[in-house]
This record gives sequence, C-alpha cells and structure tokens, in this order.
Amino acid sequence: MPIIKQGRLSLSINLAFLGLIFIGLIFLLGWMNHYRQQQAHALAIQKSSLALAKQTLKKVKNDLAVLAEYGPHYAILLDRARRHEGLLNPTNSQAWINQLQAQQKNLQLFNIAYSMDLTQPSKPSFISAYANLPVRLSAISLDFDMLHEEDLLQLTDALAADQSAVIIWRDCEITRLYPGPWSSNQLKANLHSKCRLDSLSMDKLSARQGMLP
Amino acid sequence: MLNNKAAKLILCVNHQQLLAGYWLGNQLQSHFLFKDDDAGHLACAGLLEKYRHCPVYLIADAREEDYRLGNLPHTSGKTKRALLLRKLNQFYRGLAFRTAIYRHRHKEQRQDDCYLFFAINNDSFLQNWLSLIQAANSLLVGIYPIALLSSLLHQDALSKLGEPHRVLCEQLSCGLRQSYFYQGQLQFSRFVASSSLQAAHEFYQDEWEKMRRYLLGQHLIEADSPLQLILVLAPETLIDPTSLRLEQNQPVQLINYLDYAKTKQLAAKLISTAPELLHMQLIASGQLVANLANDSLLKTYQSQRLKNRLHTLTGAMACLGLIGAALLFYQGAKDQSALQKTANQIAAMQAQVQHYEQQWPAKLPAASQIKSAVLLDLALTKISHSPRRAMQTLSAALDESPAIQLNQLTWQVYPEKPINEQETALISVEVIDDAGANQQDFLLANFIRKLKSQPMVAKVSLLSMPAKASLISGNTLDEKTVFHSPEFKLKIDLKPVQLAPLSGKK
Repeated sequence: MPIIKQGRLSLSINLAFLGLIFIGLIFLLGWMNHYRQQQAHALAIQKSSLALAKQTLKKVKNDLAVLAEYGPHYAILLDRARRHEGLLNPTNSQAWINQLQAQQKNLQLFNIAYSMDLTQPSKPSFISAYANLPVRLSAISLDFDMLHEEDLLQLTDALAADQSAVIIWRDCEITRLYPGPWSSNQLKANLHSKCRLDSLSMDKLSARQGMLP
Repeated sequence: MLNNKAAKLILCVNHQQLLAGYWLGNQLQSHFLFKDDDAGHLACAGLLEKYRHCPVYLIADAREEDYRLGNLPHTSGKTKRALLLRKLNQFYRGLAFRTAIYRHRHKEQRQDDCYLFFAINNDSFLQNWLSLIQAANSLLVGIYPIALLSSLLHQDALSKLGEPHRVLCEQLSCGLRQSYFYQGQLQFSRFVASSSLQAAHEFYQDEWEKMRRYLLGQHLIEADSPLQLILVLAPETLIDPTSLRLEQNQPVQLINYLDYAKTKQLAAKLISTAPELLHMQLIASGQLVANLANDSLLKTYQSQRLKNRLHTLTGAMACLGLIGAALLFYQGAKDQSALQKTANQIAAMQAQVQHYEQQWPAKLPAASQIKSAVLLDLALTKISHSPRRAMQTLSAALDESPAIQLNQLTWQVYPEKPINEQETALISVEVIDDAGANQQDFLLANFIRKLKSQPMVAKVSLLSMPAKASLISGNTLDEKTVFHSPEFKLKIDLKPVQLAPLSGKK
C-alpha cells in the first residue's frame, strides 16, 4: 500500500478512535450526571422526610410531655364525667332544672322564673384561648324575688356546688322593690333579681390519630 | 518517537558524504559519517531504520545554488502565497528545492516587499539520501540550506558595526563556503570544494579574488567598496590572515570554531573534523531557517504530527472526561452514602415515634385538646363569677355611709372579654338624709371615696346626676310622708381576678 494511502488510513483510524472516545465520554458523562442528579434528587426527598420525621418525633415527645403534665387532671375530668359531673359531662337540662327547683325550696325563695335555651355549638370570645375545643353553650335566665340580697349569694353558691353542670354567671340586676327601710314582713319580697347565666359543656373529644403513616 | 520531542536525527548532506547526528535535547549523543556510495547508503538506511520514529532534519550543503533578490507588492494571506509561488515558478520552474526569504520592505514608492529567492539548481546529491529517508518512512521535518544556518550561526559577528559589505568564509568538512552579506543580510553564497593541489593560503587567496570579481561583475559592490573578510577556521588551519592580500587593506576578522564549541556544548575535537555539527546544533536547539522541502516530502512527518496531536487530544479528552465522570460519580456516590445514612436516621426516628405512640393511651384525644380542656376547667374553677365580689364591695362601703341607700345593682361580666377579666357593677343610689343639695353632694362624694378605698375596686365613675333636688311626695291617707331623694348612677369597675399562672400541675 502506498505510504500516503497508509498514512490516510492510519489517520482515519485515529480520527474514528477519537470520535469513539468522544461519543463514549459523552455517554459516560451523561450517565454519570444522570446518576448524580438521581442521587441528589433522592437525597433531597430523603432530607425532607428526615425533617418531617424529626418534627413528628418532636411532636410526639411534646405530646407525651403534655400528657405527663395534664394527663392526671384530665383523668379527673374523665372520672367526673363518668359521675355525670364537670366540664366533660353533657348538660342535662332537666336535671339542672330539678336542681334549681330543689334549691328554691331549700333556700325558701318565693319562686324562680327560668328559661333555658337548647345547647348549641359556640365559640364565645371569652374562651377563645381554647378554640380547639368543641364547646357548647346554653343561655339561661332567672327571674326571682328575694327577701334579702344574701338569697342571691346562697343561690349562686348552691348552684356552683352542683357539679352536674358548669355554670357561668353573666350578669345580674338586683332592684329594690320599695323605697325606705326594709319591711320585716317575711312574706313580702324586698328585692327583685334578674340574672343571665351560661351553661357550658363539651362534645365528646375524638381520639387522637397516630402520627405514623 | 516523535512524542519524544527531545530526540532528533539531524543530517547534513554535501556532494561527498552525509553527516548524521543523534541529539537528545541539546546534547549530541552520537554522530555518523556516510560516504555517498552503496556501503554508505546501506549503513545510512540502517541508521534511519533504527531512528525511524525520530524527526529528521536535513541540512543541504549544495554546490549549485541560486540566489536572487526580488520585489513583490505588499500583500498578505493567500494572495501573498500565490504571488510568491508565481515568482518561484518564474525563477525556478522545475526545481524541487526552492524558497523565498523575506528581507525587508522598501520605504519608497510602492513600498514593495523585498525577498531573497533561493533554490538548489542541482539536487542530484540529495536524491539518493532522500530515497533512503522515504524508504525508511522517516519523519522528515524539513530541508534547510546551510548558508542560512551560517548566517544564523555567525549572527553576532555579522551584526557588529563595520563595513556594509562582508564576506564570510567558512571552512567546512569538504570545502570552503563563501557567503556575501550586505548590511548583515545574506545576499549570495557559494561552495568551493577543497583543492589538494593548492596550498591553503593560495586556495583562500584565489577564492577570495574570484568572489570579489563575481561581486563586481554582479554590481553588488563597486571597485572601491571596502569588503570585509570574516574567516571562520579551525585552529589547525595554517593560514595567516595578515598574509592575505586584500585590496582595500581591510582587517580580516577571524573566528575560531573552538569559541563556538564552548558555547554550543560540543567537543572541540568534533568541530575540527566536522564543523557542520555547529549548524546541526543550531537546529537541535530549535533554531530553524527557511524550509526548502515541498509538502509531498513532509507528508509522513505532517501525518505523524497530526496523529500525535490527535493522540494527545484523545488522551486529554479521555483524561478530562474520566476526571469529570469520576467527579460526578464521586458526588453521586457521596449523595448515595448520605442517602443511606439519612434512611437509617429516618428508620431510627420512626422506631422512636412508634415506641412513643405505643405509650399513648388508647381513645385519649389529642394532647392539645387535653391541655385546653384541663386549662379551661382550671380557669372555670378558679373564677367562679357571681355578684359576690360586687355585693361585698358595696356592702363594705354602704356600712360606712349610712346616709346612702342602694336602689339598684346591675352586675355584669363583659362577654367579649377574657374569662378572668373585669367585672362591672352599675349602681343606682340615693341620699336618704334630708339634707340640702350641698350636703347631698358631700355625702355622695364621701361614699365614692369609700368605694374607691375598697381593695377590689379599680375605678368609680359618676354616670348621671339627678335633674331635680329632693322632693317630698305622698298621699293624705299615708301614715308617713315619703321623702324622695334624687338618684345618682355610678359605675364601679372591679379589678380583674389575679390568677396564678394556669397549669395542670397541682
């Protein structure tokens, strides 16, 4: 074979080899880059999962700490609810009215006119700090005569002592019925009182959802 | 190998012999002399085969050379190459070894470029050796005229200030080379074979005269032009420069080859026998002059050079690519390792979460709801809102103010305020003492003062004053006259209940 042709052939082989190396390197680099990107993407997802797991663990620990702190008192609330008492006990309107009647007789009040709304879900502003609770309110109004202002305090104490419902007194208007000194007649009222109350209870709290997927 | 750039095979050819030198870097390793006969050719072929991968440089010391000065319009690029080729074809059509050397650019008129055109008129002395080189497939880099190398070798001597016309006489292994320089630039050169019939002194004198006559004939010098002679001799040459009869009595400048030998790192003994080694050393050190060879002779070298460059490029690309790929792989592997570590951490955390989850009693609500329920219960327990505080406060103040009678009390808790916030009592009082307006005001002010002094009172405000003073009204049938005092309305803001921080702990 002539030298020039031989040289050309050799050169062509070299060029082909260079081309092959080039293509091979492009493939290698592309593959390696794909591999790196895949790993980087997987790592990013994994890191996000790790952050989530850290958060979950922290939350679970925090929940357990809360349970350790407030659990005993909550157990008391549950116990009272079993005895139809306290905050977790649903308001029983009839029982409370019976209680009111009993107190009226017990305290020898003239009579007590009452009205009681049905309980309904409410988010009153005065308990906005506990907004995550399913609170129910029932508005109550009382209208009664008294011999002496002490009767009102005795009634509030008696109703507060009753654990079957949680009562919050909202307002009271006490009016003197007659001017001048009070009558000594025990059958004649000296004062008239109109009060508004709220009966507060909670719906049953749903059980906690586990944090593991 | 061409890759080994330090290795070079440099050949110097004249009509009688070929001098070959093998260089590694700047150091001459070995040299060989081959006669222009069959034995010499055979031995030379063996040498070329031995060093077939070394680049080969060929120096031509020709007897028949032609030098011409010529002008070309100042051009560049393809035009310049075309013009030069045309001029070379015009001067030396059919000659294989020819070249053009740029001299200077004229300053007058068209400002043409001046070139020295050079060719070897008779290249028969080269052909045998070139056939051997081609047969061995040696890497011929170029063919260089020795006269140009001489001008490069003696550059220092030629550039010294002195006469513009100079003749450089060099004693080479097979004869004398006379080169004429004008203002330090080579214009013409001739080779004269040594004569064994003449004494050295006479030989030099004769050749000097011939040279002078030739230069006069060519109108390169005038008859009275001073022509300086530079003699480059080996120390053994028994010539007395002062005995040479020069027309203009110009001093002869003598250069000893041994001086070069020291600077060119060559043994003095070698220079004495083969002064061409000095020219070869120039090429070995990378100083090249105009190349006489055409492209077809250099194809092998150029092809090899291209291949080498391709190899280098391929190697560099492969290295860079592999480094890049390794870096990418390293990053990927690092991420993969981190991925495994993170997966372990997640698994450990999930196990912990599971462990803690198992500790949570079944059916219990969320922790936040437990906390809220407990705190609400505690708040409701601690704050039992009732009119008791307002009534106690009023009782205390009324006990100290017997002239004041309470007619109405309205106690309320603002529903929009937090559970432990302020309670308010609105009261309606009258002064029951039968007194004048001033006395009533005094008694009321005293009552307000008493109220303000109560510990649970935050603020007392007088909301309305009566429009009329006291009046007495009644019926004739009444046993007793009813005394009506004017009513004053007051607002009492009670202090908020101070609570201990809410906590589930007992």
